[in-house]
Amino acid sequence: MSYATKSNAQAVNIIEHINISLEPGQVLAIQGPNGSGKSTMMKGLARQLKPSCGTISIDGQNIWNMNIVDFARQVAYVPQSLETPNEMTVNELVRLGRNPHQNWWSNQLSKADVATVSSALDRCGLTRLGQKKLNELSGGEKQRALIAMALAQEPHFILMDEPTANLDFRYQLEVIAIIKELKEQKIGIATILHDLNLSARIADKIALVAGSQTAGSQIASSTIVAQGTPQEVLKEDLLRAVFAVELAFVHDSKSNLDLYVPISISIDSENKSASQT
Amino acid sequence: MFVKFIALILFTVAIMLVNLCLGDLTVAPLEAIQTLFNNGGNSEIHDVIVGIRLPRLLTAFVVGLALATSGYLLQALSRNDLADPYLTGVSSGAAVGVACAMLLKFDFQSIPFFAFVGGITASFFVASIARGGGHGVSVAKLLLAGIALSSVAGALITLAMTTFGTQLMAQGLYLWLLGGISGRNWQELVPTVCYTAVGLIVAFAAAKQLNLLALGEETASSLGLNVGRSQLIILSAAVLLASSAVALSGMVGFVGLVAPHLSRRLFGRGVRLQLLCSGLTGAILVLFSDLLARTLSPGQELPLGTLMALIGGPFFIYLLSSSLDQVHSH
Repeated sequence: MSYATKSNAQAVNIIEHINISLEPGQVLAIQGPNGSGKSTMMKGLARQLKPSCGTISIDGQNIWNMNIVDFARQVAYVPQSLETPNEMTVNELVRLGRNPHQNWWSNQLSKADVATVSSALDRCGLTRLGQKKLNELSGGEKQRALIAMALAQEPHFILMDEPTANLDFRYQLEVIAIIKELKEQKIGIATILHDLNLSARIADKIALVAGSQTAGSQIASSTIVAQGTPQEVLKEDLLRAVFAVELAFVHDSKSNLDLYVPISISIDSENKSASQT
Repeated sequence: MFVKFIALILFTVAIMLVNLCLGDLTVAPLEAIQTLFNNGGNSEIHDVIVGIRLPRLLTAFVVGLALATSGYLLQALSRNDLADPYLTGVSSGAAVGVACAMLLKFDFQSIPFFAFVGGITASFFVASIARGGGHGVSVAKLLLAGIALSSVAGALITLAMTTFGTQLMAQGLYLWLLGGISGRNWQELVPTVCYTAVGLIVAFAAAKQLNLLALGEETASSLGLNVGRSQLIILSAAVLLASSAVALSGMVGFVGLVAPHLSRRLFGRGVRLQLLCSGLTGAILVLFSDLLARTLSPGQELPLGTLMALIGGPFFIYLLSSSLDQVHSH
């Protein structure tokens, strides 16, 4: 599939030639430099941007041929942040997650709905915070509330747009723990992550998105330059080329984790950007 | 919460009764109520109460209810507290529609329809500007487009009036524009109220959609809401309400701004509760303003729109200055 910009000038593909799949119980981490089109790709999966060519399908059915309610029962989307009405409580927010399973007019939750909502709150550790207003929550709590709302949808797939952005270490690990738990429940998860170390820990598959400057085009269009298991994708030469940084690879024997530490901006890329301007 | 709501209803009934009793001819409350329910008694009092004050009182009630509910819906759609049918130019569009209907000599039953056509055209115009080139609605653009549209609409009405209308017609139109509800009779009230009722029913039926839209368009759509369709239906209801109010009383501003704000402060949350409380608060505001309009200077009457502007204008300035940070951050 591809996404084109709508501009008066000639159409330029923001991101093109993507071919990717996600299975239930699988975690797909989407990585790449800022502006490489990760969010565009995510919005495409979330049925918020229609691809200019190509298709996205679930079980062989094109998502744009699906009823929007049916789609919402299959796929939940967790935005990076939410400009919520401040007086809304966590409970009220998570209850709205039941919407795709309700009548269009009814605000009432059935007993089963209530059970689903409280289990979603419980899984995200929010049971005690149900009555709290959203503007009283910390960043990590707010992110968990958004995930709980997605869980209340009882989806088969959850898409997360940078769920760890703006969170400190502890909250990042909390989100990662929730993702691991969802994976065990056979929910397929696609998430944008910036931290290579977090990706390496939870992802079954990493898609590396990056720009590829083509001759004759002013704006580089992006594509998936590599996809596969963390071992296959997180390689020194590839990362250096895509992010233009020098990385150190460290093995921590205590936790038995491979750690990636950005050291410096790569010299090649500085020359490259200088020659471009 | 329940107590507050009962108090609101009692207050509405009380101010209706005061409106019924006070005026050039003062009637005792008990006598006024008796007059309402039996045809006998002093026929002069009967004529004043049933023939003049009752339709006027109900007009004020409907205008307040419609404008406040419309304001609530527009605020929910734009996700900003500063939206209101008057400030966004919807009322002006409806006024052009009414002026056309009057100048083309359509009968009064078709006036609300013309008002709706004018109002919905204006709302599409303003919405397309406010949404242009960005995510969601820009409040600054919304209000500026409203101002621009209102001045063009005012100019169009004046132009049409001076070119095509007789002097008598021009005078009538001018008085109506200022926001007057004097001399409203049953024949004008009943057909318009049907439009208002449809708007109110749609608004209450869309409570859940309003709740979801409060989360923003992206999230609402990911929860299975057909965002475009819901917005169109809610906008139509808001315009229907505003234009029915304009058809009845001309340009009465700020009710849709003040009433939802007061109601949010005073009563609890929940879309349906807020719709009800905003509506009643708006009705009380207009009833109160009309009472002042009729009684402040004995023997003559102030236009309702003028009084509402005196009350609502400063309130708008207060809201604007207290939410300036919000406007900037959007």
